[in-house]
Amino acid sequence: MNKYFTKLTGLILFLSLLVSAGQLAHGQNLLTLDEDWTAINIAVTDDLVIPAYQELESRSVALITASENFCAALSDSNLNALKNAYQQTMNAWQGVQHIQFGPITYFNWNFRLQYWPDERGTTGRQLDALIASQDDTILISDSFGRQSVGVQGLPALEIILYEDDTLSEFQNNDYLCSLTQTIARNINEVSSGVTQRWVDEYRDLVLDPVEGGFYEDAEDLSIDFLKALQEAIAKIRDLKLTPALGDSFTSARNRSAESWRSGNSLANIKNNILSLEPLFSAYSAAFYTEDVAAVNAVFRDLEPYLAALPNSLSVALANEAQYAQLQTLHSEIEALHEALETALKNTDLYLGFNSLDGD
Amino acid sequence: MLSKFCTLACLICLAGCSTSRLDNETTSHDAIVATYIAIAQAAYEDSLISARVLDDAVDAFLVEPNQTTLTYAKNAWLAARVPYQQTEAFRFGNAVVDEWEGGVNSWPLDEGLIDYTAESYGEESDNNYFYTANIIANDLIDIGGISVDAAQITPQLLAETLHQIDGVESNVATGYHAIEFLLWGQDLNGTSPGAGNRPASDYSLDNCSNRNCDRRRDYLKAVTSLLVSDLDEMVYNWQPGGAAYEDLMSKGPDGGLATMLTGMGSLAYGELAGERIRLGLLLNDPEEEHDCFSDNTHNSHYYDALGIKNVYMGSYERINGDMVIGASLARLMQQEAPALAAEMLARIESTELAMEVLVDEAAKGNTFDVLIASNNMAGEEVVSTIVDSLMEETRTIEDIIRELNLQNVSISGSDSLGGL
Repeated sequence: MNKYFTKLTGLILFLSLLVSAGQLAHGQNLLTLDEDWTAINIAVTDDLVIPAYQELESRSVALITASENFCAALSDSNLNALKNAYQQTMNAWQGVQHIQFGPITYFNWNFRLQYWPDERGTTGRQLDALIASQDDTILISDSFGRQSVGVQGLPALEIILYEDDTLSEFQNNDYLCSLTQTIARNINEVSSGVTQRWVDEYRDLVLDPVEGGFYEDAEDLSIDFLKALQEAIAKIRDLKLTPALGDSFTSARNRSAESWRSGNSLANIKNNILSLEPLFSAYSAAFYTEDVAAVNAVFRDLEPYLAALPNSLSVALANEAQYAQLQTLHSEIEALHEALETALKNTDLYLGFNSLDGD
Repeated sequence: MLSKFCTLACLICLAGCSTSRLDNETTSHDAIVATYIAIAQAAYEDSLISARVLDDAVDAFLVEPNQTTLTYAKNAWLAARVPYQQTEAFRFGNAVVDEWEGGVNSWPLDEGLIDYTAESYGEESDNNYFYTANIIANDLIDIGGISVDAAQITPQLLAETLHQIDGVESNVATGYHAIEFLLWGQDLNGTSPGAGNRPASDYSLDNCSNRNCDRRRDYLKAVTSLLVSDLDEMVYNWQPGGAAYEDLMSKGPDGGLATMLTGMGSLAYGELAGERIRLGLLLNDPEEEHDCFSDNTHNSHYYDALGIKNVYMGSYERINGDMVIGASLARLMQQEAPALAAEMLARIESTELAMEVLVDEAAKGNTFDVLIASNNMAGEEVVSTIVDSLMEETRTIEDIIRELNLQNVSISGSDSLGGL
């Protein structure tokens, strides 16, 4: 079926759906009117996306302040405050990490915020080289933005802050303070840039997706959101959990997890799920009732697991009972992916090639 | 249908003909797939022939390890890359090839698994306990609960035990890049000009440098023999009755076209534009170049792009200069959608031009690792142009897929970058 109906055909079909939604065979698109898609898209933009980026931006401002305070007076308490500000910023990023289209893709902003997974330990290797260079000219804003994305973002900051003896490292090396503050400012620059672009430009595109030839219609833009949802679930399963769990309890690998140094790995996953549920919910009118119920059922099943998640992944991986709990979490994430896959397949929504759109 | 394919595909096997003219007048999907198979057969056969030349050159080097014989071996490796890179367009979409490929062209690798490394390589990795296992220096390894008896370095040990040991992809013990490392050694020039510079004496029994020359010789011989036998297997796979051939046949003519376009698009997009090129630019990291020991990356990329063109044009120039030519997607598109056909030709040409600039820069000493250095604006321009033209080419490939109304096509993204 051609997904691009004329408005009239769409209207007729929509009206017929209203009277016979229960009897329709799978394979039909439930929302066919541009205005229906746009209503959801703009609600998601205004209620979920922009507030999430604003939260990230405001946390990054606090991060700059905390880095300045720490560097003005190197102490354990200021270091803890800085670590806390780092974690809050990471939590905020995890709440909007799934949006991998639109402004976040401009100027390599996504990778400048977080280059991960880092299979080859590039971030650590490049940080070592940068710190050894003691090169202050690199820390000038324009120049820093052109360095490797590995040293610019949250993972780099995590490596610097979560050493065994971070305080004395800073006391013995002034460059670490300059670098830390530069990274904090960089994270803020990227966060505020993305937020501003959403508010000033992308929101207009959401209201009128055909303008500029970027999208074919409102449904096309919705597909970017749905793809973000589906890919984020796959990412939790394939990148955030599977490698850490390994094949068995004895081959678990904490260091393969995101944010293992700060012990934020499981909190990240929790923040991801909490941001994905309302996104799915917003688009539920696009899916068949039984499919929506199936996806929601998995979200409900996940709740007790998320509530009871251990604080530390490394501790959990070393404890057989908790390891089993994480395996269940993995299965639930898998079930979520499958339920959403089924829901998508039962409609005429085609996510196929859209990873290439909107670049 | 099968017999027809065999007849057409087997034409190229006739000795002595300079051009294998398949039926290039027709635009039937059967005939287009037959050309595709003929090109696969020829290109894998060429890869095998040139790997055998490499194997002989390695033998000669090991008999008398000196700078001259080492250079011969290196040149044989460089020549072997020419046909092999052109086969990469057959990887994605053909499961038989994709599953096999990991043993032959795995990259990037943590070379400390194989041999000695410089201090700058570091001693440990978050993800890889075998980061500095150094098989050549250790005949018994016990790491993270996995013990390996490496007393005898054999093709079996490399392929079945060491390759991707502990489930870590960068534990690459076999294939072109392991051989490349053994011939060139680490490139310690960072983003400055210059490739790896391993001394020939690393293989000398009389005057051994960097210790364990006997085991290093065993490794080089084993890994080169293994490449030959792996390619031999893939040549067989593309003959009638072979796994890749039969798998493709079972998809039917439309499924065959879908496979061709999946392979073209996935190589152009996720693999080449993403994993092998853009990631290097994002990280400004010389470790992120495909042929990082030999600094042959420009050629590897160039011949990858040529491989995509071959599949589309239904044409392949063999290493002996013979041509394989037949019915093609290009001609089909010319008939079905002339505007789109013209667009695709323009995309292919843009990519080719961008790749030629990369090759020209390398000739001037600006190899890929030099171009991706931070603050090398001119280099960034050269490399970005390639990424952009590959992305454009992929979009046009997608339009062709839509135009032909092909089902079940999925263009792969990049493992590290996701959607680019």
